[in-house]
Amino acid sequence: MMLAHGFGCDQTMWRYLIPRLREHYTLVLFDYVGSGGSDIAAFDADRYGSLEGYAKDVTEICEALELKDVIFVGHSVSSMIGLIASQSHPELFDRLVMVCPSPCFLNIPPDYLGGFEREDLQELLDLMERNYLGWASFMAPLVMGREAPKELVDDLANSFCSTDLNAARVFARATFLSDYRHILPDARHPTLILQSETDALAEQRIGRFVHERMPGSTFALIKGEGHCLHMTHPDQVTDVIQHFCADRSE
Amino acid sequence: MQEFAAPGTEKFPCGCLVTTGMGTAGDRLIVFANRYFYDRLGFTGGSLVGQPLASVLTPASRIILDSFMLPMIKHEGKVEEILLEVLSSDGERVPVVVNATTDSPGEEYIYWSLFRAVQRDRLYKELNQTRDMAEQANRAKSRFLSNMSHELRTPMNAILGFSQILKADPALPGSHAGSVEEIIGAGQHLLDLINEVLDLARVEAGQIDLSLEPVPVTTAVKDVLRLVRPLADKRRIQCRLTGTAKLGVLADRTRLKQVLLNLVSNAIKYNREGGEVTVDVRRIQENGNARVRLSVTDTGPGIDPEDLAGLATPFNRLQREEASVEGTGIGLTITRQIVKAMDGTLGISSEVGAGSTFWIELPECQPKAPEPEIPVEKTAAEVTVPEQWSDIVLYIEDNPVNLKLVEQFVRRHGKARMVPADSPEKGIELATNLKPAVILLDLSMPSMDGFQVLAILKAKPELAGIPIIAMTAHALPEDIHRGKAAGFDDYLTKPLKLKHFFQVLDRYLADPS
Repeated sequence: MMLAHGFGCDQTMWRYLIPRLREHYTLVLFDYVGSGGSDIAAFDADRYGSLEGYAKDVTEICEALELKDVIFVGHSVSSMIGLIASQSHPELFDRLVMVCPSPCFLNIPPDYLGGFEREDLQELLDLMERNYLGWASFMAPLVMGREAPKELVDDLANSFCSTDLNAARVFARATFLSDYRHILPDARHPTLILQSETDALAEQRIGRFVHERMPGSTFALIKGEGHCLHMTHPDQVTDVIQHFCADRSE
Repeated sequence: MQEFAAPGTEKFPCGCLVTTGMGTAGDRLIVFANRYFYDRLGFTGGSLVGQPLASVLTPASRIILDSFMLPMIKHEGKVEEILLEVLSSDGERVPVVVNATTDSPGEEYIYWSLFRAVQRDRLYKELNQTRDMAEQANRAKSRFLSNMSHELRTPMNAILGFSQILKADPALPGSHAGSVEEIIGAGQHLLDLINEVLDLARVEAGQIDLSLEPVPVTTAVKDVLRLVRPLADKRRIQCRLTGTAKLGVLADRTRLKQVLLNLVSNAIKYNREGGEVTVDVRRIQENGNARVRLSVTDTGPGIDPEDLAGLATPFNRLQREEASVEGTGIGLTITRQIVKAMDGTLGISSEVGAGSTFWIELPECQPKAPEPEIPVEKTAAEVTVPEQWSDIVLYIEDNPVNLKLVEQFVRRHGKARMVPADSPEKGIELATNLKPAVILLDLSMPSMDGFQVLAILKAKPELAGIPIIAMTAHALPEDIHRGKAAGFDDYLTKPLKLKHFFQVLDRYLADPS
């Protein structure tokens, strides 16, 4: 089971799911190039300017580790990254889990409302950047958890500070300004869609849109709010994933 | 909704809000806002009670609230220093810095404080813009340095490479041996200078690449004295080495020579005609640690005590710029920083009219036994390589001079023959047909760069396992890092050193016996 983080974070965001999932699956965690502890020297703005570049990270990891029948769990933008990877290399994957997916955050009238006008998203990118200096103190305690010793939190804060701003910008643009609705109908693997009751980034209708367009998908509404269900509601999320993958659990 | 009162906050000079907490389903609803909040945003007192918190935030701020702040409050019980934008009653955006905390246990309410951040936000934006500009300039500088390094090193490759081959040629008349030696020596020195100039930016940024090892001091001093001899002869200056022989220091060999070269050539340049330069080497004890002091003393005019302080300032030449002495005034700055990086110190003493002494001190370290020389000179008989030699080194390179040079290197190495490919396309074709033992690949070719060629070669299963070595004049550490990260087995920088080239070939070629 491969766990793929979303924009603005790294693999530590899966910490609340790991204790239970590791009992049943071999887990593969990683940071996309440009995020977390990845080697920033490998960052290439052209490759990572679109989600296909990140999908290549996924398939390259699968190939390097000789993985097959992968259960791919992606949060937010990683749901789409996983879908791209599963279509370019169908042989590597067994099924997909999408946590709070959105194929397109933009409103594209007349028939698609992703939730945001282009200006809103530009503003979000801008606001995130203006928060950048405070990003460290912002994210570190969250991913480390409440009981973590202060030194560890500070360490992590430093590693966030060293996150490359350029790479973050490129990832943000690829995440928020792209449109991958057209690839939904080509899904080839069973897919579970986890949707939050209220999610300002990906509203319920977006999750349902994904479900309707993807043949063979399962829709699960989690009683909770927010865009980070795996952090705020780890137990419910684990339950649903385990149920969906019951035949694969060891 | 339950009535909530927080009268204590009414006089606070910041916005105070109370909303429903994570223990309640649905949106975070405002249950209380203080007078400052209502007044500053232009709402009627009490009118926001029962409204979702999101209703006073911009869309972007709502996402940050939902995606980052609420999960944080859920796990941490608090969140601090987040910049958001709130909307006033007439739709104006006001940047605010937000802190929040929640009841524990129960999470019934979340308590928010909001501070106006108009000035702070303006500074933030300016700072971000300045940083962007600085980063852009820095990238441009790195690109320039890398290109410059490439342009300067490429011709050096031919000069040093062919002169090394001439030197190793047994047919070279003895009368020319000295001249070739001079070409190699001067070429090597020029290469060192190019590297130093390119290093300046790094040194100034405090990023010096050092590889510390035991270095025999006398050898280093003698090398330097040999290099400066023409300069000294021109001004009829005597150079002497005094003190203890056979001392070693822990230093970077090249950097130590760079430092000494700077000090000794200054001592010559700023000396009087027919003067003296003395390099003295001796051991001193400092707090029980053995250190070696190298002093360079001249018989020049000396430096006024008032001027001493300004000496290590970049580009300060103490009015010598009007005199006929060449120089840029950066040498001593670099020298001091390099010495410091090697855990050493630099000091100056001077007497007007009598001369100056510039000294450095470095940690003592026993020099290790000299490495056995790899024989690069071979007899003519050994140099002829049978054409049926089974191992092939394929060299993909568009520059004919480099192809010719490396062909001679491979021939001299004597374990394989080189097949040239003067274009990437030809190289790929030859690689597939010949299955060479090693592929040497130039990184900058006009039609396709080395990284693209590498990707194509790597994608061919029939070529799996064949080592691919980058050959390039791009010699900055990040270039090398990038090359290795891209999947090159090794990375050779031009100008090629015969010995190093042989070592790399030895690593990848099977022994013919």
